[in-house]
Amino acid sequence: MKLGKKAIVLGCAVTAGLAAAFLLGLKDDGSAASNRPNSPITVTDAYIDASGVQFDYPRAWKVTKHPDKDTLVKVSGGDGLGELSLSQLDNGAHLQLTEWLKLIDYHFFSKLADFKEVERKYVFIGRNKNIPALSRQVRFSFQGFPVRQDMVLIPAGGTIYTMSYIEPIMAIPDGMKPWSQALASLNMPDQLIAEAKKELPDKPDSQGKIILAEDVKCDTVCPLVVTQRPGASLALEQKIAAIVPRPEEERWLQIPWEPNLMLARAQAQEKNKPIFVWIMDGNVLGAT
Amino acid sequence: MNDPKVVSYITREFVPVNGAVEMLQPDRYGGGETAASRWFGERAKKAIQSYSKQFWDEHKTLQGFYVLGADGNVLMYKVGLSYRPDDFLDDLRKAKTAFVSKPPKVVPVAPQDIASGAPMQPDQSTSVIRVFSRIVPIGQNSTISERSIGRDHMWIFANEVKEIVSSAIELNVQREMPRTISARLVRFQLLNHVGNIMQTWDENQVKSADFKVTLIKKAGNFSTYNFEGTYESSSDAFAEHGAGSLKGTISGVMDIDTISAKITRFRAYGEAESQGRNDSLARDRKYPVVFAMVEASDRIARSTPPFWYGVSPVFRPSYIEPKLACWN
Repeated sequence: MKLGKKAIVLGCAVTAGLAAAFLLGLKDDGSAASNRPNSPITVTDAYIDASGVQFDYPRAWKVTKHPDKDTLVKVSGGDGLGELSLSQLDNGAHLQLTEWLKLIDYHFFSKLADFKEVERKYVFIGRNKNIPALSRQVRFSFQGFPVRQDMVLIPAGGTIYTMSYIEPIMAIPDGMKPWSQALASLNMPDQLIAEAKKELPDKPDSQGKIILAEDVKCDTVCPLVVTQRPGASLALEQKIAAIVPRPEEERWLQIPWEPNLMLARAQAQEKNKPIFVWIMDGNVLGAT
Repeated sequence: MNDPKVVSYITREFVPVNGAVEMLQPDRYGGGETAASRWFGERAKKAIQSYSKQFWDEHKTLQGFYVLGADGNVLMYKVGLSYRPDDFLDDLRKAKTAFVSKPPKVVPVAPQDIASGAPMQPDQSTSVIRVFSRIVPIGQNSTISERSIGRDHMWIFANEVKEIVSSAIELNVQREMPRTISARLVRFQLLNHVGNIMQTWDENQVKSADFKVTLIKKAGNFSTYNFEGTYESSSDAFAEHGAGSLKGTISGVMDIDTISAKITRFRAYGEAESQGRNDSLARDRKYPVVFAMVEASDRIARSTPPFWYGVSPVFRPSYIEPKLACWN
């Protein structure tokens, strides 16, 4: 069994809360498109946080400061179409950004229909294009609406700043303009930028592109994707063979697991080796 | 964990332990502490709290990956893994380097402590079946969880096997499957464990369960039986684990050694539709699930209890003698 039922871990509350608040506000009567402002979003105001972080947002949009303990500001379009937010998350545990994303995905996004990570890359953003960040775009469906969320994560010592933008996917030319404006206008105190540079590569590293789930070879991470059920005319053994794990899906079972930790301690002393423990609710060699 | 380099490195450089929560954090679900759980729990909690006190306060779970010396010094703790095996290998290598640079003190392990850490095992007379579940068909935009394989073990007890043998005695005549087997299948085993554990059904949530067994061959001490079943369970939104449903069919064949009352071969395939009661799947979505069941007698099968038997003593009595209200 994976981690509990709570869909919120550390700052996952932020992302979950943002998306949930947005989704609750999303009209499902098809009126969203007709309510979208017709004028280009060029008139902006600047949001400046007490920490010195600032970005531009459409002036006509509604600003809510500190809607929850991690979110510094939330800015949303008058018709509830787009929502931009800036959050500051406690990263005293010094989790890597990829670990944050994994927890967020596990606890929130993986439960959404048609969830897919579209892109993930390291980028330089900001007014001077000098703020390194991990950028990600995901898509999912909610009540039949395809939705897109973009996020950047900026590590800064024991803190992570995240800026995200969520919007239904519609064929509107300047649909993502608030997001690109916010990224292009972002500015942070030099000290925070220096912290970010310490933790992220100096340059966006195309060699170090994070492997997306879709890119992962099935024989190392993903189980075999079985696209159709065994035909009714197949013999029982053939049907079973189509479902049971392939050897390449069970390499980890070749590890000589010892179920008795205290016996393993004695063996470890005898062999002068460390002990590797993998513990899950349930038994990792059974159901977890 | 499935990467060949990771498998090879763990095998070569560590003594690997498969930790079960009922053994190493038994108080999480109502079990009693042992020497093993006290020893591990104290050290693991410290490691988690220094990793993130907030995480511990919120979840109070020891789930994760650890590297530690036999003296209890924790060298690595991870609660989630990157999808990149090389990242995990780096963490393992760092832990190994830390171990080598500061070897642990030798601390004798008492024989009674070793005995206390023995895994939960079925009686020798119990037959063990492996149960696999998959979501099939699966779409291209599926999540990692949806693409996973659900796994579990099932125990069939000798008295139940004897009941099959004594009731299905005429060739090609269908008899009712022993009710405890049917009820166990529906409440505890034919569950959509893809990506995470599906909650068990209580006896009132099973709406129907109809399983039949037929003797089809007899050769000396060995008898072969066909079996088939249909079942349906559901819960509403006010149920403890929320709304959900699971409806399906299963059929298969088993060989029984009538002298030892053990199942020597068990093969079954089933199809079902499930919704809800699994935290890693979309709550409102109906998933097409398939099941495969195969007999198992290897070391893992004999030392890994069924999930709903092992995870907490609360479920053990009803796992052994399950009932269904729909039969009353």
